[in-house]
Amino acid sequence: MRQPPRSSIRVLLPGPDAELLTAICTICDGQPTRADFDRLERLLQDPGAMTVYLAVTELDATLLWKLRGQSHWRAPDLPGLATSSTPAPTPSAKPPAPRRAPGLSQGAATTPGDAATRHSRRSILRRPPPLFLRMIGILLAVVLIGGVVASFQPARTPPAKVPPSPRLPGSVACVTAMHGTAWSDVAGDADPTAHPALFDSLFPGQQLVLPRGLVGITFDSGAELILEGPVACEVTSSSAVRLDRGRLTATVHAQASAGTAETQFTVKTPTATVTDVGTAFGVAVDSTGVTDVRVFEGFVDLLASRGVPSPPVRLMRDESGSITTTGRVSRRSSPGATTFKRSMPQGTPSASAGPAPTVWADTRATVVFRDGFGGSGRLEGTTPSSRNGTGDAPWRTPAAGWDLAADGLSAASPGKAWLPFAPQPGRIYRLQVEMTVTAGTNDWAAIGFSAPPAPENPAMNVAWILQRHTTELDANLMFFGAGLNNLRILNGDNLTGRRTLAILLDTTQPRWAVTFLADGRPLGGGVLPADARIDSACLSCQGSAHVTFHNSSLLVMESAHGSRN
Amino acid sequence: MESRDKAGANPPLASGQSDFVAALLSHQRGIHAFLVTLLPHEDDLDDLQQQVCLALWEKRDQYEPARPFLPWAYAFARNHALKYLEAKSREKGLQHFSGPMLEQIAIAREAFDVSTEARRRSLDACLRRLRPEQRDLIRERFAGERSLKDLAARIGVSAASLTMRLQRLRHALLKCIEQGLAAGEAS
Repeated sequence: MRQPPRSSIRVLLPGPDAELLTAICTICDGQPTRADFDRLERLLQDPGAMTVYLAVTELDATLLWKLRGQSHWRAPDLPGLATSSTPAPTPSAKPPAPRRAPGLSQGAATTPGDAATRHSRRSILRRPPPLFLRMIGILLAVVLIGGVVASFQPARTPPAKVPPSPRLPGSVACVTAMHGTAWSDVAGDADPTAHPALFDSLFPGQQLVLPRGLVGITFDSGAELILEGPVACEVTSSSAVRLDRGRLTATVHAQASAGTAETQFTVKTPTATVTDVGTAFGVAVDSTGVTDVRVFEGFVDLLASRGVPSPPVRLMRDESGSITTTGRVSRRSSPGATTFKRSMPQGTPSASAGPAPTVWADTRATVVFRDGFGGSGRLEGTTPSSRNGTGDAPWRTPAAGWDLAADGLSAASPGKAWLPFAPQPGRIYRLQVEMTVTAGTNDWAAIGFSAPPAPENPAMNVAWILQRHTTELDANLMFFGAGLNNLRILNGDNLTGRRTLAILLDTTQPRWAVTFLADGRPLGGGVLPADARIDSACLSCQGSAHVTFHNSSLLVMESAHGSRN
Repeated sequence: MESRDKAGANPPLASGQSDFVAALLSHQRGIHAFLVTLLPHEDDLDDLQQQVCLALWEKRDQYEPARPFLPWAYAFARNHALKYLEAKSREKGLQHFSGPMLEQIAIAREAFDVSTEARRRSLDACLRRLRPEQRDLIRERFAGERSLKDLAARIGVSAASLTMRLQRLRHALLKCIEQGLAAGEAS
């Protein structure tokens, strides 16, 4: 049977108060009775009504998925993945519990351990000993792997000191504490940085929507913020945030409040601009945009952004102020009724932010390999230097259909090509490949780093970024972890065509980190597990994808100032 | 980095298994949406989804990478949803769709899949167009822990009135999505 073209299913909506919609919403929102189900079942005999029903439930499912707070961690309680081995134990005592997430990863108000226990109990009841042993393995793995899950629930988590991650290039701040946190993203979850974990880097323009919990953020300027959910804000620079709704507390240390416009910390709200003058203060924005400010230390300048232009009002210690939606400023000599969290609860893992990001100069880079491909014949066994590139190690590519052509390397069958690569500590590496995926629809090509690979498997097992031929069905994705059984997945972008994909590998810290870039734009990244191993740099092609790799390089980046970090 | 030097700390899965893992990971959202379609009255489907994923994992040997993953996964999801509803019905007298109706919905849902991704993208733009109080209500309903009754009490309206508000909001969002899809196809 011929399938209709994609996105051709149209929903003929009835009026907002139509019986069909009422019948569907009664089921979705209430505690429906038998009569409610019978009524809807009768209505759904009409194919048009069924389409409306599917559209409504798809809408509900999407909203639940987006707003319940997603976690990018999938593997910790993926049943059975721990059967081959368990990861190296981490020194930290007990894993933090995950945030609530619909789906495979973490269930509502459960820990990975809880999830595993659930599976274990069920399985023990009905399975023979081998599975029982396997489930015990899962439980152990979940407990161990869970040590790197970022968010946690304090009631189940003992105080822990977690080492900070290295900071990623281009970032301006870092998540330095989390407590009972759940993220959501009402404006779309295509942004891979919408749900940062503890010690993740934060970038300018990053939206943070926190339905509940506390998040501590340390900015490069030295300012420290506590966001108190529910809150919605945007990181705008190393010394400014925009607060759309909710509450935050800012503590601005001397470094950040030296008194110049560049170093003062600013909170913009829908109705006001709050500028620190060496201080600690709280800002709250309600759903109408009314801004309340309270000063704990020092003083702040409060400037209305609506109404008749007027000079800022200076609030002193223990004073508070408000700005209404019409720009009317009121100043009180009392602290005001709004309460603010001035510190994270005791026992919250925290650390100061890592070093500031480095700026690199490509021209100073050391070339590990550079290959523009081109020519003819199979890639297997040839070296980049044999065609005016750099690098004497031969490409390995067991798959057939990976052939050199005038405009690059053409891959028309699934598999990988790789060069040996053993990263050294204390370096910033950049693997960069220009490519065009010319066929394959949802299938993809990718670049990445891997440990001993199964040659026929296009996936890599440490860090990789993929590019699909088309992105109607799925976004481009990025993966990182240690082995395929411990992956974190980030959504990339939806762009197609000729792309330049890159992965920065930062080995300057004990825990290595990766940043993924497409066409020079950072899309996301994170810290690799301690047991991640890398022994090759790879190109890959999956499924029915056809790809041409035009240029590839692996460089050791040098900072613009001549040192590596 | 001593642990990095220990070879084989995490040996890669066999090719078929890694294909399976990749498929399972990338289709979580689809499985979740499918379950919501069958059980729209259940607000918390995490447990059920865990069961479905466990069942899929246990049957991974039957997975053929060359065939579409979701229809295969849906069969598991449908069976588990039925068992779940029967158990809930026995334990708590929970009402649900009849077996034949669930079958009918499941079949229709698979065909509907072709447009879900475009609908999800269109929804993002539509959410941005809502008024702040409408967005807050959507957030409270779908992100919150409260029952509809509790939510109604908190904002000072009857449950029936809140249901109607949500119905109109859904209608507005669906209308906006349809317009977005039509505009996308026209351009």
